[in-house]
Amino acid sequence: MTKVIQNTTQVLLGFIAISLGMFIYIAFRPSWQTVWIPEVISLDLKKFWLCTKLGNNLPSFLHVFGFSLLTAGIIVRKKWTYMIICGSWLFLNLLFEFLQTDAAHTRLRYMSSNHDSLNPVLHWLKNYLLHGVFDPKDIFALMIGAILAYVVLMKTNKGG
Amino acid sequence: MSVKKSLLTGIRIVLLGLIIVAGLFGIIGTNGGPTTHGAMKVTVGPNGPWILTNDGAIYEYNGSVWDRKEAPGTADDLAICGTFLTILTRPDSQGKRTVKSRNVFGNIWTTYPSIGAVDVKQVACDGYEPVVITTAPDMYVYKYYNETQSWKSVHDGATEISVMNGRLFYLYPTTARGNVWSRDVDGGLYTRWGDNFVAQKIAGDANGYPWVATNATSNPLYKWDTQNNKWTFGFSSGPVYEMDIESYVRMYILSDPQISGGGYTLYSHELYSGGWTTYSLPSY
Repeated sequence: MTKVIQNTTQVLLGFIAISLGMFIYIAFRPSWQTVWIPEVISLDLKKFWLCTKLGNNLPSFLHVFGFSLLTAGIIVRKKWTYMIICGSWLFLNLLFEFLQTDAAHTRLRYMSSNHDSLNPVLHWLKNYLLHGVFDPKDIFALMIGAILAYVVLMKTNKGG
Repeated sequence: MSVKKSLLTGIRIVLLGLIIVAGLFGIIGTNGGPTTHGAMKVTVGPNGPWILTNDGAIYEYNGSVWDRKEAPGTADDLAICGTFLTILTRPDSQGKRTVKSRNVFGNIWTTYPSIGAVDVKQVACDGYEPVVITTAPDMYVYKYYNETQSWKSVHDGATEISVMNGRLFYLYPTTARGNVWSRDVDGGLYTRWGDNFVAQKIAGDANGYPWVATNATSNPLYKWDTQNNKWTFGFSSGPVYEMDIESYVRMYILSDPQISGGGYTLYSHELYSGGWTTYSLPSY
């Protein structure tokens, strides 16, 4: 017999980080920016300048931080895999951030205006990119999130 | 939580999969849900309607879905000249719009020469040749002749135009005795349609008759009664913000409901039968 959850502390911290990220979207972002927030629960508190500023980049940090902890806390206990997990979530987030650059956007415009009908994957990608705004500060937030997640994972590791 | 070791691998794989899906959804889902874009202009292409959306993008309806032909910010007006998509660009730094065209199947734009210092507010087509109105106070109608490769003023005074089978249908700026007129686009005698009838939008059909919409918010559409030589009620509809006619066949209008993000809903109606067809709108 063995445990499914390898490290409860890590999972708990991961859940808290992800929940906080979701709360930021509910509190400070308009509902149309988020597929999973119905308008009825959106607070859209734009008037708080500091919260709005934090709300721009904090979700990027919390996403890579929270999911790294959650993934590691559930599936592994070995320290050497922490680097892979944090790196993977960082890579995934960076990939989608760079897809929001002008270069990617221009390429997609070309592709979407020269196909009579978009294939579903391209159509889905187009919807994503057309709403996205590349922000260098997000890159910084993502990297800090990955590094901090790795540090927390090492500190909270209980052997392995 | 403890389970038999034989189940552990499977449970962890499932959990890992759920975490990855949730993580991806967290990235993608926070870039916004698709927004429906209303139409600002409508024209008829070789295979159906083309619209200009509220953000300046151009879409063609392919019979089931909208295919994007130009990205947001491309145009302020559009028309199909034969097989050429013809547009008015958005105003440049001097506030002037430019007429451009490209083959509907291609992507190489041709830019037409400017018409002096004046700006252009609407584009229509006489076959493969663009016809435009300049902005107030001039409100001249110019046609671009491919043979001479130059613009020529063909009429003085119009607030709205429609060109069909060589006929220019237009609304005259002075409304005291009615404002619905037509004439061959290259010259000839004028025809005024009805006494004291003031319209806001106009589209000519292939038989040479105008269809118009007043500014009424309910049932504003009128057609010309050829037997009694007077205007008669067209089809029941809400307010008409834009209209165009496909040959002898079909009318397209933009009407309510207005789309919250901007623009209007597209409808079509066969000219001599049937009811309104409502179109979905591009969502992205």
